Amino acid sequence: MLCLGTTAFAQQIALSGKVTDKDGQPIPQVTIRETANPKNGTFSNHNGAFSLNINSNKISVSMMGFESQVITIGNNHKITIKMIDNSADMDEVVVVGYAKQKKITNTGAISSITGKELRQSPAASIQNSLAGRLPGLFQQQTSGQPGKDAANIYIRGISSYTTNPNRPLVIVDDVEFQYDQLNQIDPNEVESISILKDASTTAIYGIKGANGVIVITTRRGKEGPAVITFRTEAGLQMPTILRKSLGSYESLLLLKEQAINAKQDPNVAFPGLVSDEALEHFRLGDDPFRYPNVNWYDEVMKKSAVQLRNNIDINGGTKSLRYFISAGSIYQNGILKDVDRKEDFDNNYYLKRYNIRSNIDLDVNKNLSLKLDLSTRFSEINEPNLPDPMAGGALPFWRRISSGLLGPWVYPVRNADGSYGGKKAGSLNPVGALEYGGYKRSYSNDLNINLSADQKLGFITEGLSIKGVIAYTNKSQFRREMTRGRFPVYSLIPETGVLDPVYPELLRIEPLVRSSGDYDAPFRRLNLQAILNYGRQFGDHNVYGLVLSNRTSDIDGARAPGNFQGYAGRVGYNFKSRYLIEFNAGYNGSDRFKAKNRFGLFPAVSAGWNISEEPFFKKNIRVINYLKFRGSYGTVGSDEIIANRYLYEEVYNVASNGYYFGETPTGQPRVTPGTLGNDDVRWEKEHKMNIGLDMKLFDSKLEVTADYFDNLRYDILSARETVPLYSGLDLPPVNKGRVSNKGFELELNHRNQINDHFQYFIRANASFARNKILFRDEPDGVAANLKKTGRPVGQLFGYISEGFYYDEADIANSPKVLGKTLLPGDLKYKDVNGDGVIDGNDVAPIGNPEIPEITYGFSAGFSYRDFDFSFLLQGAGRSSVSSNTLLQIGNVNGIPSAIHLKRWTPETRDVAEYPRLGGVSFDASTFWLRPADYIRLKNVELGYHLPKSLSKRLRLMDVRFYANGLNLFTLNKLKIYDVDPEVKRGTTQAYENYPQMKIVNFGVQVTF
Amino acid sequence: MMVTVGLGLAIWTTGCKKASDKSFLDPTDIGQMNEKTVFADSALSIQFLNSVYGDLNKTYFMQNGTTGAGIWAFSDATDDGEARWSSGFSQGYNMANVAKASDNDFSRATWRDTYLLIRRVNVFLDNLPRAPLSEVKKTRLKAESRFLRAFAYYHLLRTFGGVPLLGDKKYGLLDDFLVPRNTFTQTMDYIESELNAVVPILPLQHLPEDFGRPTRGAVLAIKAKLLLMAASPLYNESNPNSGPIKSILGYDSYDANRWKKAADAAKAVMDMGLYSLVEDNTTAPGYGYYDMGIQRMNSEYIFQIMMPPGRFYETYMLPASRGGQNYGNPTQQLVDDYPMKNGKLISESGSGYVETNPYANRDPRFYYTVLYNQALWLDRTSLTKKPVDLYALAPGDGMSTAPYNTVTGYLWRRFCNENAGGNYGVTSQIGLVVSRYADILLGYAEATNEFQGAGPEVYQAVEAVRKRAGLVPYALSTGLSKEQMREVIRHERRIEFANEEGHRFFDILRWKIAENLINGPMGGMRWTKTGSAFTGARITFETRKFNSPQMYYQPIPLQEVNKNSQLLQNPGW
Repeated sequence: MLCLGTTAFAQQIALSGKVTDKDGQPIPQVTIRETANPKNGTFSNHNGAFSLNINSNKISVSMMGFESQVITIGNNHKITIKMIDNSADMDEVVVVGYAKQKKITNTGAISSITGKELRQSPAASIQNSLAGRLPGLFQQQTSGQPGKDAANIYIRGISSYTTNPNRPLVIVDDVEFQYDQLNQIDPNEVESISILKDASTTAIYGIKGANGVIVITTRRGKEGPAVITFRTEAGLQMPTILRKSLGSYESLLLLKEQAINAKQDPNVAFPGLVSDEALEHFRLGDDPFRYPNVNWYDEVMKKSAVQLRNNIDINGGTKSLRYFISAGSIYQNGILKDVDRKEDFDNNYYLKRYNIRSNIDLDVNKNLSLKLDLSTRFSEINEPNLPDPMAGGALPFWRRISSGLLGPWVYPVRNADGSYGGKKAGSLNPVGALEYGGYKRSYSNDLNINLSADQKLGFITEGLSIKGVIAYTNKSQFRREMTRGRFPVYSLIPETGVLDPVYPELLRIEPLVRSSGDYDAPFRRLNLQAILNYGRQFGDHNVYGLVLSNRTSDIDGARAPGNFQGYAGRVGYNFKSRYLIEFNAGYNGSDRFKAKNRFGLFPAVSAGWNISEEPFFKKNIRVINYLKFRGSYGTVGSDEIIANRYLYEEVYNVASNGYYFGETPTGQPRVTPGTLGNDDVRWEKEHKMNIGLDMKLFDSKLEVTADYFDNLRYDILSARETVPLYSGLDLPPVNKGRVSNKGFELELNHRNQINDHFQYFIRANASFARNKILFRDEPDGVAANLKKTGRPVGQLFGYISEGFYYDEADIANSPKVLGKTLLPGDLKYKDVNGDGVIDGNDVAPIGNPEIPEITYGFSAGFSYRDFDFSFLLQGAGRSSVSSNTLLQIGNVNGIPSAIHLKRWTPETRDVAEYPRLGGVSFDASTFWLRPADYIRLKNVELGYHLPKSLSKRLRLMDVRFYANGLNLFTLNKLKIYDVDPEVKRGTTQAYENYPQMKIVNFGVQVTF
Repeated sequence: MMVTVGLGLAIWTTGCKKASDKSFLDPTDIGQMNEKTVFADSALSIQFLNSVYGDLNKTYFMQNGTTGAGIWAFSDATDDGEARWSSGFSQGYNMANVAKASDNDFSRATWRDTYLLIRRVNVFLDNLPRAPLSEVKKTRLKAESRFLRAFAYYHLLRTFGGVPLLGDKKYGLLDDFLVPRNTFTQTMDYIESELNAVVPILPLQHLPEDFGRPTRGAVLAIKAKLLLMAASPLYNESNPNSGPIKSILGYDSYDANRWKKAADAAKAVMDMGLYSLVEDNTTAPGYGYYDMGIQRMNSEYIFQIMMPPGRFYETYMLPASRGGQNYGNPTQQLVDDYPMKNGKLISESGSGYVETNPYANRDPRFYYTVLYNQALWLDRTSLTKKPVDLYALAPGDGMSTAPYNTVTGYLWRRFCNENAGGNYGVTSQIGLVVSRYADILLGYAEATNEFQGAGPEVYQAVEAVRKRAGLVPYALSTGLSKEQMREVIRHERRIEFANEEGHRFFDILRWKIAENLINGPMGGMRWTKTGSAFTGARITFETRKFNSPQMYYQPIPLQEVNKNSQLLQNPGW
């Protein structure tokens, strides 16, 4: 805004004027420069006044928090400049514990995303939508099962070597949620998600903050007429990777070779399958009943499964009453085939979830405002519950069809007479299991009520207010499990052609019976909070703070109720938004500890310096519009205790039927001592140090945030590994361990608007976190190469492979191997301790941790007229997967696949990629390690708004069509064993878990 | 209104904190028990000792006791059998696959579970004085618990050699835990003196409802087993080691009087006159041997680990067609060792053995121990006895390398009730026999023979066992030398105690002959069917390896040695 004349002068102008905001209030410290000669510049004084001599007729005016302007000077040399707020800058806020803070004066380490970004992902669980978007967030999604697909998430990696205690605290609208509730939240209800990473932001959560905090705020109503948004979408889910077995013929050739190598008679090991005649039939495929070649994967899996999601929300209100009401549903079907069955039940995997939320704000008067939030979630998760009496109970479906339990040659899907194929002592027919097997279904209802009242206490002093919160959670669940022990399957006896029932005593279909399943006692939590808030500006001085009292009671079935009580405080001060300092502290108590250890103080201090607000900086540095250095240091805790809640008590247990004395056996109860009590048990603690900078360059078009952290977790509750077993003690954990965790994060963000029609953004982030165990109670006698201390949490150990033994001479010249008969083509290991013998003492740390040490994301997008497009690439690095079980052959673990064709044989010894079949090479070793590094196209979205003219004619405010996708492609080095790079490492779980899914999704959003 | 309530409550949490702190964060009493409350109650105090009894079964199998999928029978690690559950400890042991075995499951489980029992006894002894029980009862329970503790040490001794003796020490969280291993002699003497101490206290017989608790006979029988073990070659001669480990693994030199002591201990049980062999050769030859094995209580049993009613052996041992899970397979070596019913070995002239019909006319105990191809067993649907198909590629059970199929061509049926399958038929009420009279007789014979040669009392004892077995004639050739008699007794033990407790396993260790027996090819019999005829072929199912002298003692678990440098590891591990 400016006032201007008409004529321009070529000679020097003595310009003077005043800078004000839109209300006419003067603004000091505004930079005024001559556009043609940027070295010539000045600042406005505290009255907003300035004077400047210029040789041309254009000046540039800029100020943090306001739009920059270029003003042409006319005849009037005494001008008034009105600055326009730049809401993206000055008003940009971040959500911190119990408050919102302006980003420019924040001193903590926080990253956040908006609900809008979240909704670009078609993933059903919020955890999976966060991947790659938040620096400092590490995730690993080990399953794609509908309803159970949520990634494990860790803020800044992991700091504790016990399992549970690495889970971040989840806070929704200032109220603690259970971690498992996180994946139930509907993204449509989310306004923003922040993760709090350092001590200054987490100390206020004290005893619960050490693993970082995820703070979610939900959407609230805005004043105005009711706006109704309806969103519906449909998508297809497909596995990111398919597990392929070789066909029967190729498989059996390999198995035959293996048996011969293992000095077994192949005709005994694989009776009737590996004779020349049988192999010829397998090769020709001319007798599929006797010599089947079944791709079980195709037999039981669909190409794709449907996902449907619908949301409707209404948002609006008057000045004093505002509402946001939302309802949503999601249906994710499973990937199992729909079989034609006589009974009416569904044993496919699926998720059905319904979310309802109503957030109401009521301003009773100028000073009192109320919030009433109600939200509820109903979900139904289904999965098959299939018997396998011969394989030791109900195995996960995926393990049945993707491991060595069932090869393509074992039996046909159906015999010639239509009965199901089977084999005694073999895995039960998976197709038959789909028809006859039962299901497990769990229903959960989840209710949250959140009431709060905020009273301004201006009558005491300006800027003071008090808030009371009552939050109640009720989560109840029940399960229904139906199962059927077995069903008739028949095995073809090759000699006679007779179909032999596999279970001789069973010729009929047993009824489905209820196996187990019941109500879980509901989980209830009552949380009361009282918060005294203060915030006030005194001239250049800004003071704010809060005092909080918090009390939570959990009731979880028959277990001991959990009680938690906390006080927290925050005091902050800044001078001209330039020098910033803040103190936070939590003082918390938990009933999980004995009285003497019950309460702890968790303080933190943070400070920041907005150097770009300094006059010298403004004067000299023009590229950088904003630069802030910040740092924090403090201590936070974690009271997550596994299993036994009162670790300081030794509990004796009574079991009935402990021993059967008597001439007539009579069960008598037994009383067993429990885990010893640990009187000194207390919480884990963590020192957190963080330094960081926030920077904006090139007229705020480029934003940079960088952080370095150094955390030390100590008093980790750990097992006493040095106590001999002959003490007979069942030992409680003690607060002994120490782990250091260090790393950094970098985030770049570029936004630009070329013209009214075209704008684009590019964003990149990368995080690195590496931990190291400094102390755990490890026995002295453990050899240096086997010690866990000094190594990352979850370090893998194994032999160091030196390739294959070339020939007998090579074996003879190499260190002796104990307990194994070696042949050329077996793996050769390094003699780590140099004693000339390869044994368990030569095992050494190998590979990288399971949780990746590096995670990164790159996203970009643009909008042009009615179109918009964006994508997100996400990746992780420095993590390993061990394949020594997954790549076995001829047993229950692995299935013959392409890699086995590259086995070692005397002829291929120089090019072989796999040890000789039937060898002894399956100990964990570097040979089997593969980097689990990956980069994947996590998200793509293409949208189109119906032209305004058209939507107006339809009496709609806006119509947007969109298509998006999840995990569309993945680059990694694990192709040979057909697992997703995020699978759980080293175990058979890699093949047990439901495959991770990619999703292609189409939707429309209508606003009216 | 609501506002007021909300604010009021919120303020209350802040305002009233001082007054309510203590009660709010104190633990809620949810009726849990602890050491104090248990031993303030008479019934609970007695039931505490049941937690020791209840885990005794962990000494009967190599691992995990009778629970879960881990009952690795000791015979699977001998020349008698092969475990069919692929992850069993014995499979690695049989291959001497000891690269990582100094941390093997068997030795870890034995070490841990046995010391767990010892601690429970010590907790019990510590608390017993204040339990509200009569002095009479306290005295008896104390003696019982000391017996159980001595039994646990006996199991440790035969597995590892000398072990740390903890006495009545009840460790706490902050104690100094590091102690060295005691010598073999010290461990022996401790067990012996504990057993001697409780002999006069325990009764000859218990009330019917207390059947299963140790009697005076049980104590004397365990003592006889212990002394027999100590007199055996592995311990009763100078072992080749030097330094402190030498005296941990055995005595310094041979002493023939140890055999005398062992013989006397066995004689003490015989002289009680309470026990006798269960003999019934009228129902069928050797029927007593079978009948004894399916009874809960009889004149022969001296001490047993009690079990709930059920079909324990049937479920684990029988083939799938009989509702079983086929956990173990007897070897051809064992089958060949069964004499003919005329008492002659199959290799002896005039034995009548026919290789093409090998299961005819054998020692009756064979039929009560081994299930072979076409042997009869109760069928579920018809409830009549039908042949079991154990030939190659048989529909039903068959012989193959698949889990649950026999690799040797045989299955165990010892202790299985003929009128039951794994999930049908009669319910058994048997326990796990730790000591029975035949054990005492053969132990007496062995010790006496070693001490003073094959005199008439030796003949008498061995022949009593052979007579009960249903052999005709049961008499041994006269004039056997001490060495010949030794072979006869060792052979008799193998047959009599096949698949029973750890007999074979610990016998071939204490005799120091394991290196000859489980070091080479192990056999089975593969039957093929043509029409209705069967043809048998001897096969080798695996080649075993035994590292001597390493494998005569189990390793102290690696992690235990790592924790405590005073715990000397056994040689070779």
